[in-house]
Amino acid sequence: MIQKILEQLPGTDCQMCGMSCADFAAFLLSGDLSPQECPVLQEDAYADRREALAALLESLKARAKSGHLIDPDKCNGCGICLIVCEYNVANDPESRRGKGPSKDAKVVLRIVNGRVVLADETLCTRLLQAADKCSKCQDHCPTQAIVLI
Amino acid sequence: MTHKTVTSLVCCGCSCLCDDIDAVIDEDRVVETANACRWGAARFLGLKKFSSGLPRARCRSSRRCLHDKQWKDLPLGEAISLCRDHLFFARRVVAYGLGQMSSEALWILMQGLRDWETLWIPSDGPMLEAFVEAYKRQAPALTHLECVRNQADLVVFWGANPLRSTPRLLSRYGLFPRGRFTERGAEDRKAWTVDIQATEMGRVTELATIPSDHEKACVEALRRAHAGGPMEVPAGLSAKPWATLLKDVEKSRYRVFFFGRGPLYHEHGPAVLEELALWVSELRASAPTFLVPILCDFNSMGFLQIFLSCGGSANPKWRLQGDLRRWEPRPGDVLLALSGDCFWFLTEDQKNAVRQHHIPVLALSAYETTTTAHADVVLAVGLQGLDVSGQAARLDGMTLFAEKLWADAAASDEAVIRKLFDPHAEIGNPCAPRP
Amino acid sequence: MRAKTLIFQSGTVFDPVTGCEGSTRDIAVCGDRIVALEHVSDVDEIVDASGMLVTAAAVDCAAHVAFPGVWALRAAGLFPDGEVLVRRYAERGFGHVHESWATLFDCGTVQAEWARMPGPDISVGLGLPLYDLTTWMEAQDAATAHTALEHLWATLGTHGCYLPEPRLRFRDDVYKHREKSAQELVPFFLEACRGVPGPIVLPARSLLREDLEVLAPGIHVQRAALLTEQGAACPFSVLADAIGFGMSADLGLAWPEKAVELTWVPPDDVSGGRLWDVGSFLLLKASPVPEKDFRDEEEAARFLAKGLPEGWAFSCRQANLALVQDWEGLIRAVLEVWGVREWFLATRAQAARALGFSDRGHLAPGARANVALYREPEEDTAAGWAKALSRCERLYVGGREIFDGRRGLLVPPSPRDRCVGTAPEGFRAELFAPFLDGMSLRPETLRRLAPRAGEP
Ligand code: SF4
Repeated sequence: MIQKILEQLPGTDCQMCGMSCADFAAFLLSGDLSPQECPVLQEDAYADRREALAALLESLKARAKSGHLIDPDKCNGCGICLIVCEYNVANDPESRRGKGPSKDAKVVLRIVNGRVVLADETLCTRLLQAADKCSKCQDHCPTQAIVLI
Repeated sequence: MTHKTVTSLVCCGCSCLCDDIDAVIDEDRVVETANACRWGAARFLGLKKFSSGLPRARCRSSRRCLHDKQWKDLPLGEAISLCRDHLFFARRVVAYGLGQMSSEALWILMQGLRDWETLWIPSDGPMLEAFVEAYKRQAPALTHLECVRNQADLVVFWGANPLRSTPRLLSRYGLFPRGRFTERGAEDRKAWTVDIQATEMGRVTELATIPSDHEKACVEALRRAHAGGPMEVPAGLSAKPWATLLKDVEKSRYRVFFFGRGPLYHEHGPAVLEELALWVSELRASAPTFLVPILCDFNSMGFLQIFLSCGGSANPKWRLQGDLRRWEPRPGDVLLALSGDCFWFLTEDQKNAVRQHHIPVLALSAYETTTTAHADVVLAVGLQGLDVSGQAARLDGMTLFAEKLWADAAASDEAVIRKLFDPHAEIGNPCAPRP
Repeated sequence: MRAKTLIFQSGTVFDPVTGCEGSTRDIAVCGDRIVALEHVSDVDEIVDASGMLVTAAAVDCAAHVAFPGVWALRAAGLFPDGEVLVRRYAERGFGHVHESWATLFDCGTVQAEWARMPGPDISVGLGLPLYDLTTWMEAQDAATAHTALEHLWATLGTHGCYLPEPRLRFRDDVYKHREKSAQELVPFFLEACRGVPGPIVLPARSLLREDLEVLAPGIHVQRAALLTEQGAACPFSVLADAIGFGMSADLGLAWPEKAVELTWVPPDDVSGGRLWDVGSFLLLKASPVPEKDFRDEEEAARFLAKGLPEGWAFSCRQANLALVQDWEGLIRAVLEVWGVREWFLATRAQAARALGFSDRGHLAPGARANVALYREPEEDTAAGWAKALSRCERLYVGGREIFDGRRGLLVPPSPRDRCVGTAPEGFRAELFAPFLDGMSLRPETLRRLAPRAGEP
């Protein structure tokens, strides 16, 4: 995703924002900086990129802190993510065995109304440890409804 | 707030019969489900299965068609006796659907029709017919989904895409669950999908694609290679995935082949199943190997069990037919469309013949469908697991009871079928006609 | 409403338990029970039984006719349909059939199958692979296991249990350290089963010689029905030496028609026949048996006759009595070795006792009114008796007539009252969690396996 954002930046590494384009892209993704803070991008020549970047960042708004971006239209509720989720497997014996977690179980993901939802993103290994530690739900999702960013 | 949470409901959305559905209920409406897949949730929430978010029209009143699509609502009892009159004159009953009925209703139906010329066409018919034929000649072994999750170290989905037919099969039983002796879940298993095109299954299993006219040849090739011969796949196919598949088969100690509907869309489908059943029987010499049909309707297996327990295959007056399109409507037929949308699948020729021969169409349904729109009499029933209770058999044969969620006025298919054959039977709570 | 009373008048009563072996007597029934004649005042119906043998209805103490997957045999034309099976039981005067096992997840299937075969009383044993008890076994917590088992049997409405093996064995080497012998397991198991009704049944084929040291005394106390099978790892004679009385035995007779026999086989012996994995470490195998004459089995009959005074009961080889088509031939072959009295004991009183039912298999007041009427034999020979006993004229179950030789089956339209679990008050789903360790079902679901028990 950083790569996609980077493609929309001027790519001059002019440091006018105080850093390289790549670092700036990372801050855009984390939401700590906004596109307005890149002076070069505000030039007319970059109007198209500005719009594309705004659209891209808009689409990322639904992204959770843990990085999950879930497309409910793609999800068919098969529940594979619940059973491969590292936290669920380690902490919820029901999920481990392929049964749906009970209503007060502490789990990261749940299937509600036939679609996967983040029940508690703070339990996700990506937040507890590091973002690159786990991507199982994304890797095993057959319909690519879960994307980790 | 009248909301209440109920837990561990049985979902009659497909033949997985998941029993872990939690739901929030408001009076006689489900407002939220947990754990049910998309199909299951749609059923609970009253939505269409494939177009998410759109409400699915329920059949709320029993009625008869006067003429020119003019309907007259009737009390259920009257509508049933109209059907009884039609049946009285039937020279042959054509019973379609069946897989979405309760086991109790199916049993009463078969008791009632035992001396009638009957053509049975379940909506999962092609699969059921092919398997009944396969059991006549081969002896592929049977197993339970619980045994699969506990023991299987090889699962093969042949012509099957459970993500589309039985979405939770993979997470609950087939591939991912950590069972008693497969504690590492999917890591303890090799998984393969064989299909005529690449499907989503390719993301969770190994995938071997195959042109549909080569399917049988591929099973033969695997069989021969397993028997010690060289791997000779049909021309144009790469031998590599098949050799790997065979290696995985040979290394495994408990194998399950799930057979899907796919091959049966082609006329050589039964031959593929036959060949596979033969291979599965041979494979048993080295380790337990099983063949399991993936049925779609939630009670297709119940239909099969009851049909055979009632002496169905030996009854000279009965015939089990897989494909609806092979039905040649003739004068004297009465079409009983039982919780299945028959008209959706009929060809134009068949529809014309139905009209031409004045074949009465009697529909029992919980939903408004193309068939209820074409029917002469419509019997409105409740939905199993929501409005009414009833038994059903999971795809491996395990029988469960799905309870109703509220005291609704809807009649069960069991009560309706009972009254169809016994005018004195009580219907319980009949659906009130629309005002 | 007053219970209906009924008198079987002037019949020749054959009931070894009450000491009647051919005397002419009246038998009175009130509601579903046999009552003493002197307690009957108003009589609703008198059944003229003159010229008839009046006996307690027979009990099949080990049937396998509604097991899961039987439909695959039916598709192959190897197994009769439900109606034929029920008719055969009725024609032979059987008023109670014990289906030996249904595993936890098959309970609903087996009971639903029986619900579609209205006629005799039925009971179903719970097939219980011992690894379902592992959690408690490891904690040596027999008390909790006992509570859970009691609760489970009440919920499912099952009667007694069937152990495929008295051991724990595993397929993969990684689990070898969990294996346990009968010596380690059986004492725990018996403790957990203390006081629960019904028999504990073991297929003899799965027994090892050394198991008997620990099994014999334990099983005797538990009124176990031990069904010997030919070809068992443990031969008849070893069993006979090792085990005392209070047990039933499979007669080990094959039927002369083409049919199937059911056996348990280890997973490494999986060739031939039709196979099921029903969730224990043994697979169930059905294989066709060649035609055979009952008289070839005389030795087996002689051997089992020795066990009769010890309380052994009669069931058929691989416990598929309803599959025997030449029933008359079978009775005759048996009677040529045994006596008539022994036949009645082995098919009635002792069979009921092996199942733990004190109110069946005899005609003493208080017994359930399961009564079978046969014609009196024309001649007092094995052939004459076999002819008479092979065809029941009238059969009553619970005081209701369910079969009449001329009119056929008169079964009640709704068999539902028969197989309902009792759904104990205060259903404690949490107790079942260890059973469901290896299953995808939620514990609450067990309540739904027994038909109708959970309907709101
Ligand atoms: S997999 Fe089938 S039974 Fe399970 S929730 Fe989905 S539709 Fe319902």
